[in-house]
Amino acid sequence: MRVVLAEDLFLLREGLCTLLTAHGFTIAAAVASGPELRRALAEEELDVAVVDVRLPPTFTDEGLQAALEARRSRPGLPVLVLSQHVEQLYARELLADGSGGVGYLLKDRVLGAAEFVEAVRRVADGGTAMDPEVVAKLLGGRRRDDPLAALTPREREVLALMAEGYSNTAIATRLFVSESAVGKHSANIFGKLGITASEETNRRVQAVLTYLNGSATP
Amino acid sequence: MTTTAGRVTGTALRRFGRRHRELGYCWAVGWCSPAALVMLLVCLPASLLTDGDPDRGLLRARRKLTDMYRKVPGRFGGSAIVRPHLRDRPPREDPATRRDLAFLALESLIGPVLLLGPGALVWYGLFGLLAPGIATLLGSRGGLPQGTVLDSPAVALPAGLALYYAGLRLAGPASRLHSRRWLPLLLGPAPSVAVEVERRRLAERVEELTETRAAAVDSREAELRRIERDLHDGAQARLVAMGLALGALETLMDTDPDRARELVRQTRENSARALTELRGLVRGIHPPVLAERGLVDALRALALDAPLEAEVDADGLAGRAEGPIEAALYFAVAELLTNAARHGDATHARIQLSHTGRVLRCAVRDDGCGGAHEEDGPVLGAGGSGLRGIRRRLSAFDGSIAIQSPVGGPTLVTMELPCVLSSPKTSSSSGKGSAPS
Repeated sequence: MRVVLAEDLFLLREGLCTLLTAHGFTIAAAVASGPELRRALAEEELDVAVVDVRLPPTFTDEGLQAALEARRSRPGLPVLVLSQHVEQLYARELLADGSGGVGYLLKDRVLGAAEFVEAVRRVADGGTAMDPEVVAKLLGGRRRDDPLAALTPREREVLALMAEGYSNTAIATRLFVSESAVGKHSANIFGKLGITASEETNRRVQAVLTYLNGSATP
Repeated sequence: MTTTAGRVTGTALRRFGRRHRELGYCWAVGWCSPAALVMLLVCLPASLLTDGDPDRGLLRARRKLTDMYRKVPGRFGGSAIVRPHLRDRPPREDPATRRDLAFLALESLIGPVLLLGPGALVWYGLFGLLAPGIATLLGSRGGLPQGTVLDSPAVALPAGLALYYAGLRLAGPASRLHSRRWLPLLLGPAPSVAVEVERRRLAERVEELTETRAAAVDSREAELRRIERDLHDGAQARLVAMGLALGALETLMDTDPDRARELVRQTRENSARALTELRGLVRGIHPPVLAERGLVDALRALALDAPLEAEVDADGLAGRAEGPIEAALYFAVAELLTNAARHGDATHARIQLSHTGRVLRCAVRDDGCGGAHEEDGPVLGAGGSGLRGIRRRLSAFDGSIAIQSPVGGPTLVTMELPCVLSSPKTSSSSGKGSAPS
């Protein structure tokens, strides 16, 4: 699996390269700035891009902008965005096209190597990997016409894990229930949020989007 | 070709708009002259009877009227005229008192001639000639004035348009003459006290700056102390603990692998917590979105995280303010949203940003139960919370805050900061077209 990596801190870039190579990824390009990233995203044959939000030369959201642009010209291009902080605003922008293959994680998650690599794989396969902190913010808001108000606590738990990007099997393991129980919960969630049957991955992305779109518009 | 045509049309439209603004000046300020005349007729006998020591109420009313005239140039692209009244002298000895009276007398003559003249030309051109001319052309003229000129539209229409145009062209010089030459002549300080007035204005300003600077330094100091404490008790302590644990691990690895494994787990937890704490601290110093995207998106991110439904309306903002000003407004809005949800029990808030006449205005309205006032909430040191804290923070930038919060709600807080916006960035990082709304 070919990875394009963009991270301006040398130590972290090297660390990520080592980590990903050790888990069988091939580093197609490891870059340190926005313009280099743009070039790499346009030229390289890649399966997934791992991108830091803040990159030189502007040290604003160069990385995020480059990733969003690349996804506009190559829809569905798998991108995992890393940052020192997570924002609902950025999560919305990444998920907005609804085509999956998106990840948004705190840099801290790199410390849990196995889970991080698993997240990169999931994104490369067209799934999602949302940071638990984003998901908690999404589900924690107190809003008047909350579309999630109809969900039971258990269903909310399932939705939270679903939003993070876990499969039914993974959710079942984490909640100590059977896989069929998770299937039943997710069917209920889709029903209550009014998400009609379509491809499974898309439905999962949609479930998160429903929440995003139902909440206050900035 | 099209761009040239577009530019020419744009310039023409702008000139059209400017001329009508000037006409508006003439018409609006011109119609204040009757008020000047009435004030003069009331004040003149009174001041003659009382030997130039006028009645307090009358004096206040008169100063209110002349002060309104002083603000006029500021409203039309110039700068307001400084009040020349000397507070520590009896009105009779203040030259400004006599000059105000003289101004009223002359303005009640000059105003109508200079300002209402162009307005009257336009008015007559439009409604005396053009409208009846068109009516004649269409063959229905019940109730409209008759006359030889009006009976032939071929004369009335061009004449009407000519008068309209003449009035419009005259409005520019007339309004400029009035606001830049005539008003400062008598409303500004008398030559004998001009230096004194300016000296006092500067002294007042110095006093104000000394106060706000002290407040700014205090709040910066308190802020640094808080950061120092948080680092000392948080991340720093955790790093020490991690160092100790690693030292212990060196020996435990061989002797007690189980204990070592547990220690590794703890250490990793500690590093994660240190990161979380640092993240919180960074947010408090300078919110990352503010650094990455600027005020508008930072407020949008804030609205998304707020414990109530909040929307941001910033369509009227065509650029970026200075970093410190953006940060001050960001923290002010954050404080207001928290207050609205916590004390006002609000469920919905609206944040409106606009920039007009070199003032950045931010209005925050919520549907809570109101009753917010400045004494609310403790002010912890100078960097403290509450509305007073916001006022202090804004005062460092000559900003102001106005609070309307009747008991029962709603609450409207308006903050104003004088500043110039830089043009929006054209670099790639501003490509936010995809931002979902």
